[in-house]
Amino acid sequence: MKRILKWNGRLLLRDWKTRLILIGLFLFLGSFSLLYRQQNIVLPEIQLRSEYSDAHNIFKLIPDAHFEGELGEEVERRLGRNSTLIGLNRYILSQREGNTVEGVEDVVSNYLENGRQMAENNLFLLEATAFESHDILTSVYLPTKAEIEQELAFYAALAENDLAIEWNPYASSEILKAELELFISIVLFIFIALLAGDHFTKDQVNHYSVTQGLPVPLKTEWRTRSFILWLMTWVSALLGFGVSYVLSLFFETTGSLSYPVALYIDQTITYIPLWEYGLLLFGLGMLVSYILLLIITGLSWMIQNIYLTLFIAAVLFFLPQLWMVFDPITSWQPSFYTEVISVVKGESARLFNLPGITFWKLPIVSLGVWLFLEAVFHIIFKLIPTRRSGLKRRVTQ
Amino acid sequence: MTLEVKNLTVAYGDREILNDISFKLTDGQIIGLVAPNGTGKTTLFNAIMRFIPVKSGQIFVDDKEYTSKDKDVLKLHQLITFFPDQSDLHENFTGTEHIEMYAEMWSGKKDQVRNIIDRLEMNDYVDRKVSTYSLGMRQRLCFAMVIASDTPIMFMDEVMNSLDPENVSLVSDILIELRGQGKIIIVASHLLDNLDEYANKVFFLKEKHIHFIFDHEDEKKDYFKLLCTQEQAELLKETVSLPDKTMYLGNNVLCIPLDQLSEAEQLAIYKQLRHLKNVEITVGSLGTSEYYSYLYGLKIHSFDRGHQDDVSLAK
Repeated sequence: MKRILKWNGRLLLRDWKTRLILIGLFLFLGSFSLLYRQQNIVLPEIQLRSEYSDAHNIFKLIPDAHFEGELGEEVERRLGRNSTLIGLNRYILSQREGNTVEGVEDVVSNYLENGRQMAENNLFLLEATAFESHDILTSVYLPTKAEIEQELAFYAALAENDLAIEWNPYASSEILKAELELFISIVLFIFIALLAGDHFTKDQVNHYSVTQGLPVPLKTEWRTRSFILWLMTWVSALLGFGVSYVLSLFFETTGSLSYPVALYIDQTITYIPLWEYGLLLFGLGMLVSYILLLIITGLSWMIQNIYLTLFIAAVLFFLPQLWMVFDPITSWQPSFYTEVISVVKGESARLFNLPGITFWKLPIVSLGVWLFLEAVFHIIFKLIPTRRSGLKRRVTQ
Repeated sequence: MTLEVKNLTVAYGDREILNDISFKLTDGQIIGLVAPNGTGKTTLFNAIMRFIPVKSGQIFVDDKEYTSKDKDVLKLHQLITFFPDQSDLHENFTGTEHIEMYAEMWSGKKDQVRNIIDRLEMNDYVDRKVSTYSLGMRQRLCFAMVIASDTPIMFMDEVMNSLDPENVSLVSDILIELRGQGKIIIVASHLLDNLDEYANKVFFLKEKHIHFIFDHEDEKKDYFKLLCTQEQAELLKETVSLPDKTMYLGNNVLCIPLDQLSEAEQLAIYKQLRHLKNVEITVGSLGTSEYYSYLYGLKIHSFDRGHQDDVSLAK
């Protein structure tokens, strides 16, 4: 195994295609923070401005008569209060000082406290079904109960870690999160497919007699070569992430690596610190990428055609889309777990109406898929890649 | 160590390439394998290595059978190396890296690599990338890789291709040294006279079989070997009585066995030869090239090209 690692690693690194892909990956990830700053992103403050406008408009939509009576008055009061709270929070964000503004704490209060109050008001409004224009409230103004609870949990997480609301979407920590999510969702898989798509094929087409007959079991070669590609990809990626993060520190506010990020687990959203979220994504991405590398490297041995290998890899990656058309059976279906971000955020669970699609199942599913691949390729590697006649059965007839 | 092939038959679909091939080799032997292109030399190597499916037959090393099971194939590959094709080398690797790679993959040792490089006189280029090599350099590199693997059995397919006479001689010497170390080496080559310098036996493949084995250890008969045109050979037959086993080979050699001729008859032939122009005569046993010519009807078309009508040369 050590000698395969050494010689295949050296062969790979000497290959310009590999070098270009790895350098490309490093440059893409390393310059991400610089590129990200060129984007137009809605600042939280501007986002609040739109919410402020919504809060005003709701008064125009609801007839005045509906605000009469005890319940009507309470609804009006809470809507009005929300409008004020949004305004206060907008002001706090615009001052870019943290959760409050020095010297005027008594006037503007605290961002988290204001947010919590708004969420509580919204919960009240949501439950005020006797209010005549309740339909308008729910369809135009109010978030869902789950969203409100999620908001409350978010404020609790901020308070627990003594963190300020992030006013800057370009903060280093925010860029890191966006970069991570983009990388794990699609970029990683494009790069590994390009790297591994012709790995064995090249040997068979260009170096057949030099590599054929090496006294090493094919399965060992398959596993080791997949591991080398995996290692190279991740070293290049982690270096890129490091450079991007360090660069962003020079240009933007640092943000916080403890900033709470939503995680879907067991049918609820909980908040974990960004660094935990990052480690989780790296871990899950590493698992899925190794499994995909085993598949792609194996296919490159079997098919001996890079285009067909890449096509099959793409089909595997986009397999979850199939369940938009057909009814999925269980949350344990491996095809769900290629889309790591959707699983972690709970989007897959919502989209496929399977609450059980959750991140902790991914390592278990990966283990199952790995065992399945071992069995499949055990059979496939019994074939011989003959030079001109493709794959043949070795068994004596 | 022994290598034994029993009743080996190989077919591509319905087309049979080798049929019922059997032989047994003991250690310290070099076997020449000769046949025209497309007769099945490489297929025989591929079949023994199990690089291609085998219709039937068995492979034994040291009387242990190596079947087509993965485990057996892996063990077989630890015992046998196959001469790589020079076009399959890694262009962006140096020669030294190739040799080290083979040494590490098989024996796990690199300590002999420099000796091999010295012995094959590759020092002046071996640390450059392969993409800069000439064909001859590549061929020597492939040979060095096989030596570095240090397996007890080596298959050298077209080992002398692209080599100049000096390197043919060098490689031949090393093959003899390897034989001295007890290796079993099968060399497929078209340098027929060169094979006689080191091969213990030469296998001639014909019509899917090992048609004939030329064993250098067998007692050899002497022949008059006349290099002449067919016209000259006919003329000689008309003027002197030649033995029954006289052969005119397609490579313009008339072979006259001497054991059936008295000294007077030999002298008569010699005298008659003096009347023919441009005829060369040597005395000796038949070699691989003569057998090859005899078995495959080899014709050397260039021998009298442009002189067919030149009566003064023919007679």
